Amino acid sequence: MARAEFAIIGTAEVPCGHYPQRNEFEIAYTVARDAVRDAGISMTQIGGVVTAAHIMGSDYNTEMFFGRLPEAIGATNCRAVATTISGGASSWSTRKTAEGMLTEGGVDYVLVVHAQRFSQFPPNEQVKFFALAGADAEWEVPYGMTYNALAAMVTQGYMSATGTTIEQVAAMCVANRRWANLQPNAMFYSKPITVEEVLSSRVVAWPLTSLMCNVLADGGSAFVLTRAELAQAAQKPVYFAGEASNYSHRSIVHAKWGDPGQMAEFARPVAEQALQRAGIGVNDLDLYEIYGSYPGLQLILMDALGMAPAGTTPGELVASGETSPGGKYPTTTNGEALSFGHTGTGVGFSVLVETVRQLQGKAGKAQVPGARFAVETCGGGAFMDVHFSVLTNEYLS
Amino acid sequence: MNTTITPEREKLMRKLGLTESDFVKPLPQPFPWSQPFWDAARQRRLVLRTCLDCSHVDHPPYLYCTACGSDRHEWRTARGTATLVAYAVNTYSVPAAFIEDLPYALAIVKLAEGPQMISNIVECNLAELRNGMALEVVFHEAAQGFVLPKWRPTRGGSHGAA
Repeated sequence: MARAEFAIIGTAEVPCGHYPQRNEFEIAYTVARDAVRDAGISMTQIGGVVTAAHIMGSDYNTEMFFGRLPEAIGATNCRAVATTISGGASSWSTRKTAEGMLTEGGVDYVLVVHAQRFSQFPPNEQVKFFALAGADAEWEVPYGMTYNALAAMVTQGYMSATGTTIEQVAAMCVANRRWANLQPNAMFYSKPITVEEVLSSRVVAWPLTSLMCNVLADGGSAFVLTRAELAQAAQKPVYFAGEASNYSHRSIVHAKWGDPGQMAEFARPVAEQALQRAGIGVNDLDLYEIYGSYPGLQLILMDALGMAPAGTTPGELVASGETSPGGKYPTTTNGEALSFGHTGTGVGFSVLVETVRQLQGKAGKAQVPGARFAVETCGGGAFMDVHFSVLTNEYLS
Repeated sequence: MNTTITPEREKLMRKLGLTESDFVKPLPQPFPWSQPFWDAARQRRLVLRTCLDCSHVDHPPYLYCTACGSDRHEWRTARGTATLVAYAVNTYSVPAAFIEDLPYALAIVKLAEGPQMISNIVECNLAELRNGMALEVVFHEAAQGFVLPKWRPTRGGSHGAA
């Protein structure tokens, strides 16, 4: 196993869902305090504060990059503040900003915060945002391009390239939901679903049905990052053992993988490199915290990771129930965007925070007993990039 | 806006709390370097930005050649043929301006010259679409005299005029 440089020592999260009475500031201040308390340090030890921007834009963004947060939470010894954003990959890019602060000297603990609210926008604005966010304003939006259509093309391409069936795609949604049913903070905590319900829900962008697509939600989470050698003093540090990234495109027409069905081939060497840098093999993993944003994308990233037993496909593995609670391949244990709720830039944060909780043994009813190694993924844009990170609760000095 | 409000539209406006402006189609906002593409489309010509130094074809076009960085380029008329790489059929949950077009097909289309574009497949039965099929360009007027190149399954004989 490789030596880790950085670790998360505390996390916090607010329930995800429709909370029109909340606002971004209240969410941010709440998760900031809770994460620092969870880390077992005092607010005055925070040396840097990084926030992810709200993806639909608001006064919140301006306030955050004008340095509101350290002042509001009493981080009186904060020396560095920044807002970072790379869409759905912001949990990665904010963390990279935090790592930079931690290597500069004089900063030992960095608080990273995400808070987002969509309920202030009328339903039509939300549909418009979600439809258009992934599309190029000049070359795609005038044709009625939508995020769901993009995911439909990539999913359909993967299905025809691998023989994955629409029932298996639906089974991915059900597996996510089963995990969410164990997560009190999940938007769909108390709403089980079946494969039949997923398949018979309204077709939105063929072949995707409405239960294969995301619902925008309000929510937020935070974590405290520190250098690995300092983290050892914390109660339950979780280390980053190895990671890898790659960028492909803005528009899917320029995807480096060419045929839209070949995204797994683009992601595969990235996953391999992350495992290699961590010094472990895919069979050493206890948890597969995969953020795809659509069920087909989760299957593609599982494929890239090579986590299904030889001779089987991720679709078959998911349909067998082995990625659901109690299975041998626990996958995306917070329920993913589909069932935890889609908080814009925040989905990667909620998946990362869940990964840390699992490795700390603090995942409640969803806890996978004795988990030591987890892979966590995120990506943003119109499937513009992929990031794989290996996390562990074991420190190699 | 010179649109008349149909009873269907009125129903949608009431149901979704929309105003008339929500039904206005978003149009391309060209950059100076992409304007020639849209000017040609208005004349029902499909043109591609071709580098005079390395012959690279850029679509969408950017400020300079993305292969060699050269500014020297010309706009060459494309053959107007392509293949269907992948598609999706939108049937629900689209921005208001496209609700009345449902269902419609979005596609990744690969031009004979190499570049790919996102477009609509039109003038056909959507159930007959299949990846790899041959396409020919057609020009559809969007609002306000803006013309969008779209594609339909090849019918043989002369193509391009619609």
